[in-house]
This record gives sequence, C-alpha cells and structure tokens, in this order.
Amino acid sequence: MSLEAENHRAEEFTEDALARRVYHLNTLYELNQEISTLKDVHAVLNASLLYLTGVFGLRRGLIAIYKGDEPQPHKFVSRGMDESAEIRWCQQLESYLPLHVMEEVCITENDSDSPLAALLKGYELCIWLPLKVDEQTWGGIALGDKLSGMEFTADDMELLSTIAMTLQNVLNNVLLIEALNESINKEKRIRTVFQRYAPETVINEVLNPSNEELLLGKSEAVRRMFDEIISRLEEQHVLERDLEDAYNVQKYLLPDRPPQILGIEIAPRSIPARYVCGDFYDFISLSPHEVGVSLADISGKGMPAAMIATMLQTATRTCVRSYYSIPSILAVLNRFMFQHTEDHRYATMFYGHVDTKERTFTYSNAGHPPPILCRNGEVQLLEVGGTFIGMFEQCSYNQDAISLQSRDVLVIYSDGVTDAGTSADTDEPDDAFGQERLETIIATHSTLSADALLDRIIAEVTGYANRQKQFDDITLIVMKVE
Amino acid sequence: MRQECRVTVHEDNELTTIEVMGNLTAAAEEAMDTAYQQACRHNTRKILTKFDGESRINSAGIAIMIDLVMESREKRIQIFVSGLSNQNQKIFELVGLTKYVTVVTSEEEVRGS
Repeated sequence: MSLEAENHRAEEFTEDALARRVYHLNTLYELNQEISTLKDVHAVLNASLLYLTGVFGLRRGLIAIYKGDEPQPHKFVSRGMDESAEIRWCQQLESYLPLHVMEEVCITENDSDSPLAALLKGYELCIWLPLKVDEQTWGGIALGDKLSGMEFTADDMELLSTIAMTLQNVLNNVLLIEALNESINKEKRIRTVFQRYAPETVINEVLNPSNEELLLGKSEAVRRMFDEIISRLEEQHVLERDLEDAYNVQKYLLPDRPPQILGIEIAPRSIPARYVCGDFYDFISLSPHEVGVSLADISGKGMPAAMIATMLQTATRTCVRSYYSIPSILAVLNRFMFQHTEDHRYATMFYGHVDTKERTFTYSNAGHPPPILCRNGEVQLLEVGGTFIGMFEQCSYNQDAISLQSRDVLVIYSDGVTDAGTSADTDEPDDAFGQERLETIIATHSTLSADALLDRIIAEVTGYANRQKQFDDITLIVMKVE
Repeated sequence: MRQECRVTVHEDNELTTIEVMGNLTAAAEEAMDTAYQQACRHNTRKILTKFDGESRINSAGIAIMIDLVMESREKRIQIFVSGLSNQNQKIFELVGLTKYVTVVTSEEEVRGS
C-alpha cells in the first residue's frame, strides 16, 4: 500500500470526516435514484451536474455528450457559465477532437502542458473526466474550482469516477430506450405484450385481422375493455421488466468469481429466497495479497430488501476504497443507512480484511451471525464488533485481528443457512438447521477445498430443509488458508 | 422523513426573507428560483434564507444555494441563513458556502447587523 494510502487510513476519524463521507454516499445514492427514473438525456445530464455542483461546492461545471465524429455536442449542460462561454466552449473543443478529449485531466499548478488543460484553464475549469457511453457516444465532465478554495483530493476523484460510471450506465440505458421508442410504434408494442400474456385461443381470435377490426370497430364498450386489458398487461409487463432489471443489477454487482488472492482459497454463493436477494456478499481487492470481504443481510425480503442491499453494497465499496479503518467504515455505513431507510430497516453485516502476506484477518461484526473459524478441528466464533447497522443514528464498532494459520477454514454466512428448515409461518427455532450443525459439518470436513466445503454445506442445508420451502436468502463465503 | 418543499417570500422595508419549509432537493429548484427572483425585485440588499430546522438539504439543494449565493454576489446582495440543523451547517462548511453566507440564529440578528 502506498504511503499516501497508509496516511489516509491513519487519518483521525473526526466528525468532519464522517459528515463528509456520509454526504458523499448520500449524493451517490440520491443521484442514482434520481437519474435512474429519468427518460431524457438532457434531464439526466442536468440532474447529474446539479448533484456534482452541490457535492463538491463548485463555482461552475459542464457536461458535454458527443455522437461519433460530430464536432458539435449532441447534448450540453452547464452551470455557472454564461451563454457566450458555452458557445465558445462548443466551438473550441472541436480543435481538440478526437485526440485529446479521452484523457483525464486534473490541473494542478504544475500541469498546464496539455492543450486540453489550456482550454480548461481558459474557462476556469480544472477537471476533465471523459465519458464513454457506447461505441458511438462519448463526452466528458468538466468541473470548475471549489467555493471552499480547496483542491480536489484523491477521495473527490474517486467519488467523481463513481458518479461518472453511474452516469455512463444510465445514459446507455436512456439512449437505448430512445432508440427503441423511435423504432417501435405503439401498436407493435401492444401486440407484443398481448401475445406474451394472453391465452393462445384469445390471441388467435383477437389477432385475426378481421376479428380485431370487428371487435374494435363495432362496439365502444368492447374497445374500452380491450384498452383496459392492454393497459393492465402493459403494467404487468413493466413490473416484470423492473424485477428482471433488479435481478440483473444484483447479479451484475455480485462478483462473478471470487478474487484470486495469493495464499487463500475463496468460495462464495448466494441463493435468493425470491427473485431478488436481501443478502449480499462482496470482495474488494486492495492488493495482490489483500482483500476486503463483506457479507450483509438486510431485514425483510424481496424487492425492498434487495434495493437496500444494492445501496449498501455500493456504499461499502466506496468506503473501503477510501482506506478508513473497519470500525469507521461500519460507523459511516450505519449512519448512511439510518438516513436512507424510512421504515426502520436495518442490516446485520460482517466486514473483514484478509492480508495473506501478514497472515492476518481483521474484522468487525455488526450484529451478524458470528462467522466460524475452524482450526485443527476446533471452532472459534468471530463476534467482536457492535450492533446492527441502520437502527440508531450513532453507533461505534470494535475490531479484532486474528493470525491466520495454514489450513484455517473461515465460514461467513447469513442466518438463512442456520434458519433453514423453519417456515415463514412458524419460525420455530427447534426445527432450524442451527449453528451447531453447521459447526459440526465445518469441523468434520475442514480438509476439503473451499469449493468442496461450500458445496457440502449447501447440500446439507438444502437436504435438511427439503421439507420446507426456502423462505430466507442463503448466503455463504468459505475461505481456506493454504 | 421526506417532506415536500414549500418556499414563500416575506418582504418588508429592511429585509426580504425566503422561507423554506421541508427538504431542499432538486424538486425545489424552480420554486427557489421563482422565490429568489421575487425577493430581488425591490432593490433588496439583504436576503435571509430561513430553514425550518428540520429540513434536509441534499447535494442538489446545496447546488441551488450556490446558484443563489453566486447571483447575489453579482447583485451585491448579502445572504443570511438561519434554521440550519447541525448536519446542514456542517455541509455548508464542507462545501465552502459559509465563506459566502452569514449563518445567524434569528431574524433579529440580521435586522441588527
């Protein structure tokens, strides 16, 4: 880890730092929520620049989107710049296309060599972050200096990159929708929806051109009824598509494979009780021998819990990359979640930091079922930490560090594992798979590889719960020190 | 937690007050702009932006305040702010707004300044 990063990690965790961090996370969350609902490129850019201006306290800024080799922006928004400056910017950038605009520029006192940097300086702008939306669409975010007079920090640039990524994803979707809307007319869309949902006999009857004409043309009442059916089917179609989108977002956010960290095998799995999952696990690679490991379980199930899980996962990544200590990460996440859950939702969460070079595992447990460390057949529970996150505005957490030894096995899991076998109605703990049973399996099979042990646990849990429908999300991470 | 934002303007000879009830977010941009233009009509020299103490101000709300403050500097209007929660005051400090606005605890403080 660099000296700068070490210093950053060692930074005293003041109330100011906490407030700044929570403010940044709130911005990411709210911006994402706001622009995800917008259907118009201009509105997306406007909202994004509004949030950027506020989060950094900027005097001015702009976002320009270009299509292909067109020299004039396809879309352009600005704040704090007069009209003539906007026009001049659009004209002048043309001289720098396409060679220079894909470079990231952050002007400091010693950096004014690049032509783009000179252009930016002419408009009292000091940051240029390129955007690459799709093969044809690109552009950039240009930001002016801050009201505070402070320079942009590494933290700021990290936040800016995250916002740019969010913006790129949303723009990609919005542009796609625009293109689809242009090419598919309403009639065709209705037919598609109808064909998908209506019984085959009805389709054959109604989609027969003569019958359709007869039905729609002869009776106003039938026409209204038909419109109502179509409208409901469309709503259902939208809901299902939203659910699919949520599932895809979650799938996208979950690591597609465990990180390759020297000296440790890692095997994760998550099995949602419904379409989407209120648990999440994540790995954040910090170096070839260091990885952050998180597993959280949001109270409740289904879409509301899944949305909070996604929010919390994104927030965790942002916090961890800022090199705060583990208790500080949890304190920030706690306050962030408290502020964004209106119905008293909370999460249990475990976060740990593996360092295979130092052979240490440092962790904090926020009210989560204690992970199980198995060493030479003996079991130890990792319980040090604090309470759930999101329940109280102010919470503090402790951390503990354990030395890792060869063949140590660590299993982090959600309560869907130990509660398996109970039903949503009775929730009788006597029927549950239970922690003791889990400990026994781990101790008995600790010589297996991480993957094989994971498969074994899942097989035991699902076999045990066979008589009951799975009612809670099941998430597990198995780690084995080599 | 989320309240609709209501913005009203009160004027007298000495002071114009923009009263903000509810959360200041992107949704309030037009209302704030209208209120500010109204507040500037009568050669105002002092504007008090009065929050209700419970309002949450997010990044978009801060951007709206920045616009208001920057335009006021050009027009040589002094901006005062009251009713900020501790959290909002901290954010005002973080983004540098406190360099451009005077944070007060009451309307009387502005009138006496």
